[in-house]
Amino acid sequence: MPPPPSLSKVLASAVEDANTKVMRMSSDRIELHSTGMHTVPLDEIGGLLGGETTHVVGVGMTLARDPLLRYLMVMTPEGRRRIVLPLVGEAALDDPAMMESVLEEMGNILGSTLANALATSLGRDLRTGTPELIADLAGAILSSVVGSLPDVADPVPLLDVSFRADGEAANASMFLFFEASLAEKLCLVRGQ
Amino acid sequence: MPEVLIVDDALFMRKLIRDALEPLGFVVVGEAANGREALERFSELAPDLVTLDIVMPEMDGLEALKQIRMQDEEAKVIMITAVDQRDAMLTAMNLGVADFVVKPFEPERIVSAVEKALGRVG
Repeated sequence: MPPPPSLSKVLASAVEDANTKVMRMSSDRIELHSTGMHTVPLDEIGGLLGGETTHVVGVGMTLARDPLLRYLMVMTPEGRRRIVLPLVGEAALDDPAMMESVLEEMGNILGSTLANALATSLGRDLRTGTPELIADLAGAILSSVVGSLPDVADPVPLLDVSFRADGEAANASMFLFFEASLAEKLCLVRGQ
Repeated sequence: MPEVLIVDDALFMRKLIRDALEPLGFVVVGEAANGREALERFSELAPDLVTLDIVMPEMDGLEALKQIRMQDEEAKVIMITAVDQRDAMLTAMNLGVADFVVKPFEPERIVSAVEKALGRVG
């Protein structure tokens, strides 16, 4: 029997699936690719995003409850601008509600494909929550996520993704937070 | 020209659908962000067709579909669904939905669904 796929392969495959959907929605103007996965100690995450006082925007989504599994995608406001522009045009840059709606939809696509990929690996259906928009200092966001998760597993898987929108790159970081009780199952699928 | 009511809680999705339809001559007569608003607009505007998201706050798309069809049994409704909403799709079929469009979709897909529902495809 072949070994289960590694977590990095599962997540990379999810991003490829999400890429198909993003390209479809954007009439091929936006592509999405993963550029690498690694794990990060919880107390170093704030520093990775340019510092705990860096302003970031993003989307969070609960992928599973009991035990809890959440994903969080964060990027800079400039990155969001680069994604929004080809989808809804210049006028939307002055429309905060539209900018938020675009990011929410991107977050929804990523969250649902992650949930599908992880459901297969975890051997259970995952019922996702609705996307939650985030705009705050990196340190505050991460503290809030960790605070809402009892017994969060440490280190945290981090997937670097890159959106390419009309030739411009917008990088984002995707974190996967989960209760420590889930770590063993996810570690089992690491296959490393 | 055919008049369309767009119902989706996501502002961006409403814009995507509008941007796909308007250049081809469809008239977007109104938008709604939940099922309750959808029923109000439907009564006011009597559109030729409704595009209707399933998951929405206050009143979801299935309940809105049911009540729209009760108001007008000839009402043409296209449901916008996510791929994992098979049960909802089955319910919608039984309620007389004209077609489904799975999101995220290419603009051409929503256009072809609308044209087909309105009998504009030869």
